[in-house]
Amino acid sequence: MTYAESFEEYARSRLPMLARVAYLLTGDPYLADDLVQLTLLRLASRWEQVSAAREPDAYVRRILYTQHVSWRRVRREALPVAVLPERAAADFAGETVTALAVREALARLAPRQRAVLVLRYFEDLSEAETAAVLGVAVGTVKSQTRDALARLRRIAPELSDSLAEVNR
Amino acid sequence: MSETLREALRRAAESAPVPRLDGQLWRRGRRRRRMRRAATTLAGLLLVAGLATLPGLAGGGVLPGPAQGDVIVGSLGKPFPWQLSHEAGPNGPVVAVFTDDDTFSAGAGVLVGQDGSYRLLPIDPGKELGLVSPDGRHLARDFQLVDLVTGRVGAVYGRPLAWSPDGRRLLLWVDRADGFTRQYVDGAESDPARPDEIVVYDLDTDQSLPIMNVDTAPPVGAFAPDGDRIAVSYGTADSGLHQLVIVDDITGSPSTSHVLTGEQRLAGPAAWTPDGRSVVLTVADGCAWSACQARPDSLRGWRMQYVDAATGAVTDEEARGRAGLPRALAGWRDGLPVFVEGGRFSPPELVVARPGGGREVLLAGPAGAGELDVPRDLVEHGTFGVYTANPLQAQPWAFVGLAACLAPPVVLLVVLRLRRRALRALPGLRVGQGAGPDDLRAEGGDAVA
Repeated sequence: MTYAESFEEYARSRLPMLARVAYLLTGDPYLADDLVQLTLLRLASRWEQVSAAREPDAYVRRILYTQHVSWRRVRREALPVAVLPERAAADFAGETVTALAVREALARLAPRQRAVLVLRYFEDLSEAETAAVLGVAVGTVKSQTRDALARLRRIAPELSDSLAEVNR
Repeated sequence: MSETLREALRRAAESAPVPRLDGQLWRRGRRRRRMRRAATTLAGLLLVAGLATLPGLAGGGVLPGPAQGDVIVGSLGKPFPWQLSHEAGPNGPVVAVFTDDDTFSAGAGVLVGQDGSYRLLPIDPGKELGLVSPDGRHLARDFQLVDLVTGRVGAVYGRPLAWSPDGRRLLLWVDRADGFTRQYVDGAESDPARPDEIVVYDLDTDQSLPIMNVDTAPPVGAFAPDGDRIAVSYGTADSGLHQLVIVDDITGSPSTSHVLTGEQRLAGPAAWTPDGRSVVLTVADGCAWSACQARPDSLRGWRMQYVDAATGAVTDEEARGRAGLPRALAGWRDGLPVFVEGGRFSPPELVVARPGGGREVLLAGPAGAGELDVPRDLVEHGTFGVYTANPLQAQPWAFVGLAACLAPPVVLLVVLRLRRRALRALPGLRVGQGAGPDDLRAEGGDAVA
């Protein structure tokens, strides 16, 4: 298998999940698409080393989150896509309403706070793992998490029940 | 413990659109990789070139002085090409000035301050370095008087031949080819139609006093220790008019004149003996001086002759066949003449001419140096050390250039190191591990509902 083929295979296998994380981070389908494309582009430029290290996921996660935190770079290097991404149909069930509220609340957080919440509660990483991905201290992760949750309570009081679970 | 938030995040993510895989992604990645490698290679080349150049330049910056038995000889090291200019930071009074034709193909003057600092002084093509004043505070150049302490540059209307012992007057040669017309202190106007002139320029009054006319160039001159008499030699033996004239610098009346041969010449700006009774000539053995300069090998030796200023009687010194190539008599130390010596291919030295023909080096110039001049006060009463240039006394462009060369590879190394460290520290978890195993490996491009 050539490098190009192995890269394409890997990219296809990770594409859905990358899209979800990017969507949670950006809150915008187009920016999420840009973020994913840019992440894969950088991955392609270093595929030999990354695949040889047998830990491509770690590298991809690192690119995705650091790229997200530096918003300006994401916007400047946005890549055009030939086909607009599809959007899921609306679901007005109660759980989905909560999910939409969470998404909108996330969008009002600072990029790093958003990243911390997604890493901790969507990707289910520990504080130490989250700190390693973002390249910050564990203490920073703790404070960012605390601040992010507090801000979520302020801007989305309707989520207080959900967030109350977090503090237990 | 936080199932509700986790569930909400999961549901929010489920509405994410899944982008299609761009078929050009791999090709773009390859292009990005090539550009990154090209930038890395360029940075590496710049670093290697910088590091390769630096030792060569630095290696030429310092040369130890030659040993002379147990005596430690003063020596001058070479300047660095990026040395600070005199204009940017004057360093006078100086202990020595010299030209470095080796480092600077276009020629440059090097000023060595009393604090050991080095400064560069540009020299126009075809021009000479000039004469440093006895106290080392001024440098007289063609049509310029440079204050080495303040950096101020004044004008003088002529080419310098000698400083007076007190450093307040200059003996100048006004070459008509330079096209000067100047009103002198005696009311006479310098006329381009008249022959070249020898004038005395007074620094305090900014006035020039004409002393004599000379027909052929270039002249050599010297002030007597009392400062009232001047010895001038001019012309060449080939032209049939090569003579030494001793004049009073106030009246301009010649007291004596002496016809010189091609092997004789006035020794230099300090040619008067300390008692003011004689003028020293240097006599070449084996060639006329004009030929000796072109073919140093033809010079079998040289000696001094003393011309009595009152009678014109010529007395030879006892020594014969002195070694070296004398350029100029620069002063008298403990009653002995001190010459600047050095051939076209040997570095200049400040040398005491011993009575028996021996020589004692006081100060050695660096390899590749051309001219050398030392303040007369220092020649006669001072001591000399080992002077080396400080590479950090550099011009601003040098720091900018160094930073431009070193910054890219250094930044690259730091980034690579940080990235490698970060990758090692990363947890080996799969992307989206917490979102459920089914979602992680989902195939296809549609949204996962």
